[in-house]
Amino acid sequence: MRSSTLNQEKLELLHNAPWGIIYPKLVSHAEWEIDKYSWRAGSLPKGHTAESIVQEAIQKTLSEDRNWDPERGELLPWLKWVIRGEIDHLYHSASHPEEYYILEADSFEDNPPAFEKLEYDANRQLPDGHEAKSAEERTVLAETTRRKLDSLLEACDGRPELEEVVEALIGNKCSPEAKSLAEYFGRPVEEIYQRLRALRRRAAKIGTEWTKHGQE
Amino acid sequence: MDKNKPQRGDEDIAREFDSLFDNIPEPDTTEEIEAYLLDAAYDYEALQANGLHFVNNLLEDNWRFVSSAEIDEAAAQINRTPLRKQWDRYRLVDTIRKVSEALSAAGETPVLAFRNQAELTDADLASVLQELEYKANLKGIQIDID
Repeated sequence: MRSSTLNQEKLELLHNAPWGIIYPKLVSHAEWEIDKYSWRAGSLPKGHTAESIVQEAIQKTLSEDRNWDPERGELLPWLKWVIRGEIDHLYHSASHPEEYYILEADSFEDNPPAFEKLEYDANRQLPDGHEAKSAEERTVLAETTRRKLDSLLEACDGRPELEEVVEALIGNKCSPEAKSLAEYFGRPVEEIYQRLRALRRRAAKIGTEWTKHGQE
Repeated sequence: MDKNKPQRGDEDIAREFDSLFDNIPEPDTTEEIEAYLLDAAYDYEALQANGLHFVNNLLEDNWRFVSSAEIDEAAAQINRTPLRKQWDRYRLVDTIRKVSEALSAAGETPVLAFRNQAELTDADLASVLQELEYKANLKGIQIDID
C-alpha cells in the first residue's frame, strides 16, 4: 500500500537530486536504448520520444507508481532501469515480426542488481536453436539485411569518417571490432566508438524512415 | 585472399555490424554524452533547463511532495481550531452544511463534507467540522458559527 506522502529521506533525495545533470544523462540513455532497438527492428516506438519516455519515468517515480527504494539503489540507475523497461514494453507491445531477440527483464525490486543484466543477446537474429527456415522467415531476414546495409551506406553520405569505417568493414580490411578499427586507422578507440555511435544512430534513423514509408 | 575462408554474404556482414554496435560502450562521460546528444540534434544546456523545469513543476504541483515539516505545521494549525466535542450530532451536521455551503460559495471544494455523514460518529463529525473551519479560516471566509 502506498504511503500518503513520500518519506522524508526519499523526499529530500528527490528534492536535492541534481536534475540538471541527471536529466540529459537520462535522455542520452533513452536515445541509446531506442537506437539499439530501432537499428534492429527498423522502427520507433510510436507516439513517443526519448524525452517523453524520460519524463514518464520521472513522473512515475515521483508519484510512486514505480516505487524507488533508495536503500536498494541510487536514483540514476533506478531511472535508467525504468526507462529501459518502458522502451522494452513499447517495442514488445508493438509488432516487430522481423526481430526475434529477447530481453530478460528482471525486476529491480525483486533483485536490485538485475538491472545491470538487462541486456539482449546481441548475436541472436532468431531464438536459440531456431534457424530461418521458412520462406517467410527467409524473406524477412533478407529484407532486414538489405535495410541495414543500405541504411549504413546512406548514413555515410557527407561523413567521410563514417564512410571509411563502413568500407573497411565491408571490405574485410580488419576484424569487426572497435579496437581493430582503431589499429587499422591509427586512431584512439574512443574516437572509433564515437564514429560507431553516430553511424548506428544515423543508419537506424534512415532505416526507420524507410520502414515507415514502406508501411504507408 | 584465403581461398579456404568462406565468402561473407550480406547476412554475415549485417550480423557483424549488429555485433559491433552491440559492443560499443554507451556514452558515459559528460563529453561523450554531450557529443551523442548533439549528434541527435539536442541542445545540452536547453535539456538541462528542461529537466529542472519539468521536475520542479512536478514537485511544486503535487501535495505528496510537500515536506513533512509543512505537513506538521498544517496539522498544528488545524489543531488550533476548536474541536466541537460538546456539540450534539444535529448541531454538528447543521454547521458542517453551513460551512460547506460557505466554502462552495467561495469557490472552494469542501471534500470532507462529501463523506457519508450518517456513517460517521459524533467524534468524526467534530473532526470534519474542525478541518472545514480551518479551511474557511485559511481562506478568510467569515462564518457565524457560535
